[in-house]
Amino acid sequence: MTDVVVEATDVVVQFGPTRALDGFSCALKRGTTGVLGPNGAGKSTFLKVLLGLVAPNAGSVVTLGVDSRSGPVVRKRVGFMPERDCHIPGLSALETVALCGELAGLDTALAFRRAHETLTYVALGEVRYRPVDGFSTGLRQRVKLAAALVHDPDLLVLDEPTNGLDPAGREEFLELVRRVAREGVSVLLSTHLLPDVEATCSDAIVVGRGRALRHGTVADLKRGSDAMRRVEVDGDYGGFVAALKARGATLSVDALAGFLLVGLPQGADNALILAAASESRTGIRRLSRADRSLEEVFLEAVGLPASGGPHAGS
Amino acid sequence: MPVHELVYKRMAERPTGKPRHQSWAMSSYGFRLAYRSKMAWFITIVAFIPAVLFSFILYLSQEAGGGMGQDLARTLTAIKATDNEGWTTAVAPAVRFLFGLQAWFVTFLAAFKGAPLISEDVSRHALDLYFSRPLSWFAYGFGKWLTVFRGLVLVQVLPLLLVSVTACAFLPNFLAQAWPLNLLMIVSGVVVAAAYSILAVGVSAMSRSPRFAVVAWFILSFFTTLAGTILSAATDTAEFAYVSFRHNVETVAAWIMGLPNAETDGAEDPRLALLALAVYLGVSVWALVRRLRRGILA
Repeated sequence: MTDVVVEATDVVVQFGPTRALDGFSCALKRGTTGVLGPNGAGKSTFLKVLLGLVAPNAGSVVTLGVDSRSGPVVRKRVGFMPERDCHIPGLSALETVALCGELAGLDTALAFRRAHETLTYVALGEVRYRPVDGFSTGLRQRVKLAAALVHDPDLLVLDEPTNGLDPAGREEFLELVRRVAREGVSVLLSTHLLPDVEATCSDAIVVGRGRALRHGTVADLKRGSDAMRRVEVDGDYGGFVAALKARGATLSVDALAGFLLVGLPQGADNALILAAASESRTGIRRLSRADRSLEEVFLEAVGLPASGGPHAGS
Repeated sequence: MPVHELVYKRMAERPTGKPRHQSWAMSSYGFRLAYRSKMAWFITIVAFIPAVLFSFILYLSQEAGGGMGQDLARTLTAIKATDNEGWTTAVAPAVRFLFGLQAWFVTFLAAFKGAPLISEDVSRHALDLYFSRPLSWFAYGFGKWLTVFRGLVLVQVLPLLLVSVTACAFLPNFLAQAWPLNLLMIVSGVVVAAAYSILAVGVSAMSRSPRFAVVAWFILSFFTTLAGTILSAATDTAEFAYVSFRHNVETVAAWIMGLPNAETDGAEDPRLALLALAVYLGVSVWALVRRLRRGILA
């Protein structure tokens, strides 16, 4: 079995004069992948193409080995949790989930059994007979998750799943998603909440201007340049800075955070920093590679200025 | 149960049972939902009253004798099944009266339970939920139509069936002599229910607001009839009657049964009514398709 769950090749989607996807290419592996992007980047269009709801003008998307142009065939194996607050008016949570199961190809008895199971799993067991109309946002999000899971999909696509949830509800929801992923279901999490991706996903893809701008594991994306170091020093660092500059290093000082960012010249390593410290008689409290936060990766990828300094990685 | 105690389990076995057709499954849930309302029950129960009364008259004609029931019974049993003239003169008033009554119940049930069907889905974004399943827009539209149709069959066809069964039970040789009446009544009832269902689904698809859909339904049902009547009277032109959806449906239904329309006594051409009806239904289907394509892409 191939390790790639979604493979997009040069996908172009045009809505009138707007090009929503413009040569979008990526290969998403099994596991949990976060889809990041600003509003209008093309995330939702990509998900619709993936589900076979929108046919691309050019290129192709293969989901779980099936061309997404075959629409319903793809959606039999994919569970989708829509972004918008959606429910079928008047139906109870149990009926909503069971109907979704039947529409996905389960017989009535199995659909109801699975509906009971998935609703219990998302902690709605006690309110499953109540109409969804009266549910809070958090409960409705859970109903949507249960509806996406009821037919046991191989790929779960979540579009902004934690929108409108309070911090506790959000953490519980992300824990549910992690458990589903541990059971072997691949998860695609589209969100603008970077902490959700960091907390849930092993991979991430940054979408912007209709293209996949960055793609890799979250750890790889956050990994900074090999030439950047974060240095924390004791006392006055004036002499240390001068010694580093004399050795050809570039510097930026975050006085508020109390550390220096040192860009090493080509071919240099930590020895250069240690030599400068020795020369200026400066004590080094901490020396580490300067990794970036996912937010910085995201902002850099979409071409926006970073709001804060880099974070340290050990 | 706390979340931390729950574990997601994948399905132990692949489904082996035969699933229901998606449209049928949708309509079953929709039908069940519609009949949770007291109004639906009220309209349905009231819709049976004319048929029950009619059946009672047939019963009286057999048991007690005399009066209108006996006359009708005598006529029904006397006429030949294929005798169109007999139908027209003897049965037409009764059947037309019954159809006219049932049309009111059909109109009200379709207004309150049919017209809001898709607009409610649109306003609550339920289309997102539907179309993220392996569901085609055709299956969705057909499922919604089936939901309304099943309800309208209850108020249009079943009362007619009750009359037929009663007639067969109480009138000697009725089944043998007048079986086409039963058949044509049922066919006409099904056509009426189907046409109203298509229009209800179309009207529902034209609006994002369930309330507006109900209003639009009543405008189409009553005001087109009113407009047709006024224009016909003012201009002395019978063609304006085709503006009315209800008039067209009833004309087509009467034509199927071989009866002239009650209002015009068969003065107009049923083919024109059929054409006008086809335009109404075509626009309804177009509205539905347009809404669903928008809904899917929204």
